[in-house]
Amino acid sequence: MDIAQKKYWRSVEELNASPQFIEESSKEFAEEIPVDELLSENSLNLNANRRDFLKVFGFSVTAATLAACTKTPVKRAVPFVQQPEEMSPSIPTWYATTYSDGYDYASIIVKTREGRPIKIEGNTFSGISQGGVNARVHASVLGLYDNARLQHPTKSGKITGWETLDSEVGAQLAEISAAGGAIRLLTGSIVSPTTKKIIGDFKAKYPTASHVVYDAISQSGMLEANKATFGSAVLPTYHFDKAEVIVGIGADFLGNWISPVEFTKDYIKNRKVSKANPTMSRHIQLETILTVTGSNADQRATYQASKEALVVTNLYNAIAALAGAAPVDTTAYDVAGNTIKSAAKELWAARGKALVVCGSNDAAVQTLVNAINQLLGSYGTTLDMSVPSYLRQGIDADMVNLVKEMNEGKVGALIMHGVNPAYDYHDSKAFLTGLEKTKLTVSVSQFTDETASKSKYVAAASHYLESWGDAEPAKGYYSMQQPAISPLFDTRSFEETLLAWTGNKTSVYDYLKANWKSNSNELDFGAFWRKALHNGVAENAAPGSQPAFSANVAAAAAAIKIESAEVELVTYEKMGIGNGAHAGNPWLQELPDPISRACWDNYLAVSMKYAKDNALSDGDIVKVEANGYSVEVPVLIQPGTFAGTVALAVGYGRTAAGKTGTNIGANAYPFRKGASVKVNISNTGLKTQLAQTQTHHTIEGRNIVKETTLDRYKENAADGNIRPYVNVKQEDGSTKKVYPGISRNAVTLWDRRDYEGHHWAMAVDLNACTGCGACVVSCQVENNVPVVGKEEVIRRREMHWMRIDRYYAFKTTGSDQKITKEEEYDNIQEGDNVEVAFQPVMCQQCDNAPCETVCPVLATTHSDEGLNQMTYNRCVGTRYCANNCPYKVRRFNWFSYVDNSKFANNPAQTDLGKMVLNPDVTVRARGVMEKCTFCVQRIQAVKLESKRNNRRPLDGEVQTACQQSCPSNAIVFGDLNDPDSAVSQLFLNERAYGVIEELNVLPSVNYLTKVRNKKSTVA
Amino acid sequence: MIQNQRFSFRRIALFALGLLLFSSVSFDSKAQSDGVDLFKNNCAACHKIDQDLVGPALKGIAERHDEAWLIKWIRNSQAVIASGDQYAVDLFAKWNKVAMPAYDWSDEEIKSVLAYIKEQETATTAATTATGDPLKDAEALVAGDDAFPMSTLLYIIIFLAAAVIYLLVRMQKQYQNSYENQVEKGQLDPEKLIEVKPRIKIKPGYMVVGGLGLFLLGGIGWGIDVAQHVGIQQGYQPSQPIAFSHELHAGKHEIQCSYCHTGVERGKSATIPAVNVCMNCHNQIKTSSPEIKKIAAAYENNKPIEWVRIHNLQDFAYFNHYQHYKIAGIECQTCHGPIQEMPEVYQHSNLTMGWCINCHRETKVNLDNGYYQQVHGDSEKFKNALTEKGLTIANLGGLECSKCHY
Repeated sequence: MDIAQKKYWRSVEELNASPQFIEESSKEFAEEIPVDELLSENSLNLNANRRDFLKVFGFSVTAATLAACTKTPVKRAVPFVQQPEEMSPSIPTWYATTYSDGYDYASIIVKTREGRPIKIEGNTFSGISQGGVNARVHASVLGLYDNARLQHPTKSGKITGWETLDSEVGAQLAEISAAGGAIRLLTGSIVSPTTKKIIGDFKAKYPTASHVVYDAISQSGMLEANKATFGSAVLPTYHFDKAEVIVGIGADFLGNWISPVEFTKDYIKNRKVSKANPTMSRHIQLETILTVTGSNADQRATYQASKEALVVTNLYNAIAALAGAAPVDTTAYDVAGNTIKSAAKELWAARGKALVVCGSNDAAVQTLVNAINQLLGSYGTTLDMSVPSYLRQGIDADMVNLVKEMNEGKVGALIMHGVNPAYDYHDSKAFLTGLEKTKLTVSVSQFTDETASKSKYVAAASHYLESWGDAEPAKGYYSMQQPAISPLFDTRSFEETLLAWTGNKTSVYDYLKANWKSNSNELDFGAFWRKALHNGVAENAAPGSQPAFSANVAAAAAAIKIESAEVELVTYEKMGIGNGAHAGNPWLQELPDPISRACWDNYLAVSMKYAKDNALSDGDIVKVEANGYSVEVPVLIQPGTFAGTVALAVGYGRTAAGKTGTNIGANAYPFRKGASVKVNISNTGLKTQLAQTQTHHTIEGRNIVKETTLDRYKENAADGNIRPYVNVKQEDGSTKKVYPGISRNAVTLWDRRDYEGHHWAMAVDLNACTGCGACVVSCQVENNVPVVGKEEVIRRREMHWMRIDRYYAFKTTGSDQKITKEEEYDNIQEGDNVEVAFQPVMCQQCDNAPCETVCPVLATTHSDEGLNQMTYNRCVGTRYCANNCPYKVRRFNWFSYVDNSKFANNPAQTDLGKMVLNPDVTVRARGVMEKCTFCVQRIQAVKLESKRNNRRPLDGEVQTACQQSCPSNAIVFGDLNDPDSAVSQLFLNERAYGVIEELNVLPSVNYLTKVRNKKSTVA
Repeated sequence: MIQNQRFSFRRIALFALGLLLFSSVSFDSKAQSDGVDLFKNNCAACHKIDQDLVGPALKGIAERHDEAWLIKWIRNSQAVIASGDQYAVDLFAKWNKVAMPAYDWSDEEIKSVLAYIKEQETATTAATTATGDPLKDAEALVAGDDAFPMSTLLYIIIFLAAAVIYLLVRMQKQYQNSYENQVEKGQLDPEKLIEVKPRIKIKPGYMVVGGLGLFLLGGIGWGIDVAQHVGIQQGYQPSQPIAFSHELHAGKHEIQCSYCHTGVERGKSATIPAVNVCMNCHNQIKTSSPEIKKIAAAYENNKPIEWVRIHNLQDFAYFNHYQHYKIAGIECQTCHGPIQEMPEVYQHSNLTMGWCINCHRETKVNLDNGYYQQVHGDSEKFKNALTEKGLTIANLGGLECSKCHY
């Protein structure tokens, strides 16, 4: 099958193409206009007779008249008493700070308007996050304005004051300590050196205290393996940019594994191809379920979850054979297509520039992975142990031990911060019984979550944007955390609280500064400090020689036990919700999972084969039972899943996550007792509907995603990018090919436009987009996009201005491999052998925009800068434009999301939540159409800045929200009228194409074909 | 003719005034014009020519000190005081030790300011019939006696027309009556007369219907007019918590608008000054005034002043003060009206979209800005504009929706 003609499909329904699906998919709007529903809001009866009609009509006219007669409310303008120097109304102020919650880390800059933080962007000075930010960090600004936040410290659930809390906790700590009772400080991974120092002070004050680190999703196995092989329990830093061959084994490093933003930034450096540099890394992903990382791999194969260790041992043996090292004793195993053996050859050929990562949490497996990387000479190149990463520090055994101690009544006081074991510990029951046996329980928490609600004292914690601090995610990579706003409520940061209990009256700021000063040998510390705060980072990482390697691989291999079952359950983290700590954030709940496109729920992902064998279909509720724990969840058929494995995401099933996050989905943490568990699945016979986006339409076999392979690209840079043309008869009788997508002189119904000033345009590199979804949340924050909730998403009324379409295609191993009809049929039956492509779709700002011609009220018009403008005040809601849009990017405001009580999850509904709105962007009313504007507010701001500076805008000066937040730099925005701009160059690239450009709508968004680094000759 | 005479008289007066001013202009008119700007932007907030303000009146300053001392003082008054100059020390003590900011100006610039001060001294002493401000007099002249407003004129015409009709009808009636009387008395023989009958006989019924019709039409017209003004607050003049007078500050004392409304130099909001800006001057000036005491109380109690907002542009319209004031160089008065004559501020313009659009249609863009030259410079219309009549904002897409609505 020719790659250019590769068949793509978006959902299992589309693949099966049932008549009902085809019927449904032809509609732009899922349902007819809900006139009844709308009118019933005003308790109107449609079956009114003439007299009733006149009554109602008369009343409403009178009411409207009377309403119009009310006096205009008097508005006040209240300036400051003392104008702060750094704050001026309407001018944004940016602060550099750090996001670090023990799960995600990012050095960020925060935009504040009138003193309110409203937007987060990445800090490009950081050597770790490198200006990238993921969806969770973007959404974290809303956590500041969360109504579920604790506003005061509490004692036994009742509001108390800090003085009471401090004196009572202080007295009890002193008492317990004096009596020799154990005090335990339970936190997540702490990367802040100053916080660690404060903890040290606390331990010095209370000698019986010790610090236990607990990560809900830990890297315990790797930490122990590194301790065994290198002598220190730390993680290495990874350099995906230096790797030419990457083999991932169950490690979702572009998704949620350790430091995904950093890895994405590095990974993508080697994935961008150009004619000048037609090389890219080769990525082989072996995994059980389809992850974001697997979706981006050049080659992907699945294995049974319990056989992960065998994949590693067999890979070790294959490489050892090539390296002449001794093999380990193991069972021979390989995945489909002998991928392990071929991967070993490729790795060996690229030794020194190869990297193997594994997501296993088993120390023995990780020891073998270390040994593989040692054989490949990865340490010092693609892996660095001399600059260790501190992002995960929790050792599982420590937590098990703590729970045991608590249940034995040995723990006198337990102080918890940044952890929620009552929800996410696999044996939360044991933890809770232990908590009851602990005399003094204190939670330092922002929310009354599952754990805090069971603690006697809750010291209300400040949001990270209200607190001082620092971070050292990797050795020498320091970053600063400074507040962007004063605490909104009567809260204190963890550090403040600990200092108070240590009896230290110093403020956290003074303590932090003093700590830095004492560790600094800068001559001018004041200047250094100001610069560090301004830049947000102070990096002095110095890679040294790698620590000595010694591993007993034979013992490690012998320690591996394989326990398999016919059906195995794995748990995983979804892109938005992650470990579930931020399940109360509606933006994250509504972010569709990049792979399944589902939001507002977790579900049992099963393979197509399993679904067929067990007669399951999407939405069937099944009971999942293992280890005496069971949940009832809906089924989602997920292509790309290993046939014998089912998967359930953690992070759901919260019971105390505020109004938004409580009771959404089912808790999968109790299933995490082992690496994989035998599971019983029974159909309950009930059915529900999953809120999935994107599965509603068909692509009608159109060539929307284009791709090629690296080999073919090297031969012909335009490979795979077949542009549509029409034969136009010339005057002399000959015919000439005219490319409507390229030629502006093609015959058209529209007036030809000359863009004399700017012509804004965007280019999206499909090869770079990993599908992570950060741009979707970034766009939502920037443009005040409402949250609509599960019901409305099911009705296809999500409001996101941009989406990332995910396409499946059946795998072709080689560039010239033909797939016969029979094979294709087999593939459809199996359905698990898929390749994935992501395509971000925003308004394409067509030069010949079909939406503009059908608007009866000129609410959508064209600007002379190439923008397709949407004027909300003119819109009367005919929705003709949405019906006529070939890209399906227009969204309609079915309801007034800001005050309709049905949409209580929308942040703009509460006074506190309204604070996050971008004051430069209109909050749209009911009944109007909206869509991506190319962030016109940012364009206008930059144009003004250019006029101030007496020059044209510089290339790259205008950054759209999606572009700025993309961790893989897939989006480029700029001015087509500037021939030197990056976007102009990309539009001329052989890989560039407009989606369905044969319509001659001349989209201002071009995509670059996806290039997969496939090997056509694999041994 | 009387008008004409008056007009020519005014013209002569203006000419005379111009001559007077021209004759008093010192040798270097360029330097003096620099001096005006420098003085108004930097000195006027604290100094007046003939009156003490935060700092002393500047009248006769050239007599009091030599130029070298003044240059030193203006560049860095604190340095002069520190040097132990007795006069400087006394002056500093006398004026409550309020330090004068240092101005890093060239000798020429300082001389131009001094020249302006000297120039103003003579202007204030020269008692002319004019107010002394050439600008204002010229304005008054151009405006002349305000013509009748259109609407008043219309009403008068309608009234006159109605009166004429009424008179005609009365006359016709009287004529008819006298004619009938005469016929009755036999003074006239109708047979012998040529019949002159009114062509139109107005029956009372028609009058009523016509009147009602007119009334209804007027009502509808009025209704439309009212409806079009819903939400428009033109002329809105709420009373403010503190009787701050722009007439006094911006008019009489000629303090630059941007001295207090600093936002116009930087961003979207012009900004109402914080209390500390008021206190810059008013911890010295008129501290006994009851209104100033309110400000002082607000400052001491850290309680902000809740001004009533007058200009309420709709939230869905983006308006940037900086862009209009600084880039386009639009005077504040263009939109805010004669603010320097307002003891209490009212909304001068109607702030409707039509009003915005109209200005965007008429106003020429400052094509000297490098932005326009580099972005639009290659276009035909730009090249034509340089030789012909210029480009309006509308010509460069200034009427497009998403220029103001995001």
